Amino acid sequence: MSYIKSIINNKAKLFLTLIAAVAIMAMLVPASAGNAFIQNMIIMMLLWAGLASAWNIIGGYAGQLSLGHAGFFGIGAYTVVLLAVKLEVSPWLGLIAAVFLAVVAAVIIGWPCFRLQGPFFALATVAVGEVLRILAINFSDLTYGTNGISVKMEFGLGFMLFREKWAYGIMAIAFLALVLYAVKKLEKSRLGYYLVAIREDQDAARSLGVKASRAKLTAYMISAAFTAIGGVIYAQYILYIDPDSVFASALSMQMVLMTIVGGMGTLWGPVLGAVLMVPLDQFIRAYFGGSVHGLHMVIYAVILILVILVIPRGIGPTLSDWVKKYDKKAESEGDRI
Amino acid sequence: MKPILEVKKVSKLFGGLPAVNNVSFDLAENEILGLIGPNGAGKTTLFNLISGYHEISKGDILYRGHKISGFLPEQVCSQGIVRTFQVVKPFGEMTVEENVMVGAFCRTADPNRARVKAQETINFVGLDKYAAMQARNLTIADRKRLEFARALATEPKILMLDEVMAGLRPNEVDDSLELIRKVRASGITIIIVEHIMRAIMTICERILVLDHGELIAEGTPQEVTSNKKVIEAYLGKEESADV
Amino acid sequence: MEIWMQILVNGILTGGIFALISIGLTLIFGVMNIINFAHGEFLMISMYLVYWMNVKMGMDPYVAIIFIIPIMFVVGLVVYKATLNPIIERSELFTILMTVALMILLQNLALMLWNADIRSINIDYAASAIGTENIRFGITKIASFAIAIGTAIGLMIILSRTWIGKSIKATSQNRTAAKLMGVDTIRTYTIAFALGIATVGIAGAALAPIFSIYPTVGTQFGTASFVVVVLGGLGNVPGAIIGGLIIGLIDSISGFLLPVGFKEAIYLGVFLLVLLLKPNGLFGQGAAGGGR
Repeated sequence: MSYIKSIINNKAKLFLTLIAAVAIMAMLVPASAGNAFIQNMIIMMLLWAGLASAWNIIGGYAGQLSLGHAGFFGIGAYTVVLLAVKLEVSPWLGLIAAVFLAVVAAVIIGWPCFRLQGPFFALATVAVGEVLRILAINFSDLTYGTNGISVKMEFGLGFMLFREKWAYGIMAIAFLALVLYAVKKLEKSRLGYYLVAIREDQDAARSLGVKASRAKLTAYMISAAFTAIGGVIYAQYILYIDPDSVFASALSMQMVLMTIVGGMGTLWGPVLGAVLMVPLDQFIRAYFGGSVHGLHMVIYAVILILVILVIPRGIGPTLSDWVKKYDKKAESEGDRI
Repeated sequence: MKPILEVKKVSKLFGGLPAVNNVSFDLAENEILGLIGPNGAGKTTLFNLISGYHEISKGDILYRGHKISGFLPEQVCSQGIVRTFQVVKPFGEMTVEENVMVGAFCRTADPNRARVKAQETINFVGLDKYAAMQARNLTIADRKRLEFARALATEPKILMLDEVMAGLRPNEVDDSLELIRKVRASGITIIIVEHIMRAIMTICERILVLDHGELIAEGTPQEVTSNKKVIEAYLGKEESADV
Repeated sequence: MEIWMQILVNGILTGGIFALISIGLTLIFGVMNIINFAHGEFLMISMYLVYWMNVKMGMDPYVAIIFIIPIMFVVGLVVYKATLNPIIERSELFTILMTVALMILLQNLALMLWNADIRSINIDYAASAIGTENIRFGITKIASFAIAIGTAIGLMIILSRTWIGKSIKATSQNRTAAKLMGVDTIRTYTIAFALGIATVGIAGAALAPIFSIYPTVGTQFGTASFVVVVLGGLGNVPGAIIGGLIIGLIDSISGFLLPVGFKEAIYLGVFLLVLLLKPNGLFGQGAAGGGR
């Protein structure tokens, strides 16, 4: 009872419960032709909500603009698939290896950059993202280059591969829940406070004893780890990866875009961003298909520009401000009556 | 008694030019030391050197007998030396309480304890009314108070105040002075840079005068104000001295 | 031996191109502290403009420069006023993001308008070269090198002789002081951005006869120019020229020793090394690295 009350009182919880309910219902309906589209969209929505939330840790909370998160996504996808295909390693172990490699990569990029202020980090992340893609194309002995690799078709829980879509739905829900739980924990922890302080004013934060480079590096490692998990789930779901799909800079941009549209540095912002942007993306693709190349990215860019210009805090925080204002107004009008 | 802080022949060169030149002084436990001088005399640079924001070109700084020159700002702070900034730097998107909690986290990783510490400190400086307000909405006087509270929450042994009273109205200056006295009474040593002479003369036991990066005088407020060199330094730039 | 001479010559000529692309980027950064992530895309736009001028009007790409300069200057003005000026006072995060958004927009607009076809300009003298039997200097590469030098000199003259140039210089040295001295910062930013885009426009015209033209051509050169600018010191125009030459040589040597496609990996290696060892650039002691 008290849970229901707290749900009604807490708009964020209400929001999540609604999403979860819709997602689960859509998953349970047997797949027909039209339903598969919806199911796929919901899985993508959940996956992207998780990815954007992971980006939010370093980009939103710590204010460090990573523009190469596709690198971690790709590391995750390639690690799990290559280990399974070449060495017959279970994807569950592959997942652990993927997280480990992504964290190592985060340290290699972050360690030199976080000691410097200015745009170096953003620059380095762009370069690293691109270079990983190039390496994946050119080290074709290992990665099969632009031909890509197909996931080994062995179905079952042990192989993290399923015939039914709802199983991926559950994986995506678990992934999102895990990331959100971590972000929630982070928000309440010393590290969380430190990250926001660094974003707001790094000099002031350091004068108060904040070990800024260490805090940023930790956040980057956490963010990279979750992004790699997202890459693993993607690979196991789509069943085929190639450098241009999992290392694409467009992926990095999408994580940034969804977070900004929804609201950077807030728990629910990235989720809201994914809920709005993924259907938009899917519909544009479905309607225009291959006929107008680049159109959906043009739309993305225009949305990004408008959000930065008009509501830089994102839709979530802006809306909740309105609601608060409206509530106050309603209250004071109520008093008069 | 052994000094809590020893600054020994410290120099800082910027592009070959000395901003602080061969400055030495000791800080006694629990005193209030004033640091004055015309604009560009090197006061803030000296703060930056002690707090680790600039690397020292020559010389040494000792805290309770051990060397702290070469430490990073965050390390200096955990040693127990904290500074405020001349241009206040609130964490704008955080509430006042959260701002102060960041300081309190210097001594504890537990958010609940940090919150308690922050609330105490906020009450101490008289910001309790605004605890839940976003820092960017504070007035300039309250921002300065916040800067003060954040620094105090790190539980410092030495507090370095960089022009915390500039731009305040006379009654606000009096409040600040009261606050500084209260802080000192709790056992904290204070170094204060200030342009408002009335304030510095009433609160400091000892004053150092910097000019062109060099220490030109040292003594009680009376001694310093009657010092010939000091008068020259100020009269030469009368317009900039806010007497 | 002769092969190495040829590599050296190619490296220097390519370096001139990199330098030309990077001058505008470093100028904009120096004045506004903005890394323009869309820089390569403005290059691409200029290459397409030159291409269409050539195809539709039969204009020689080098003659097109006369028109490209004012066109790209105006493009710079408009883009700055519409997108960056409104958010210039906000945190760096938003200005970077805005240029990223511009990058995505321009790249995909090009894809929509002109599709992914790889185009190239055919001019009859493009293949001709001078030099000895063993060392060849491609005419078009020499031309673009000369244009790079000319543009650099022109820009230096503008910066040191004109009033607006002096404002730009003053602002990049100390923004607050310049403002106090009565420099109109907004105007300075606007002109500096437009100048930066005009120079990358010139670069586009110089590159159009040499390289293929396609919507993502900017990314390749954009990445290289970021490395050049960091190498030369962010905001340092002469540094960008030397940085360009160094990257040109590295490009030429690694192109000879390594399989195609690894070039960008080499850039990144250089970039990370510079970050680790000399974050303010090879000659810099400025504040780009910011404190400690």
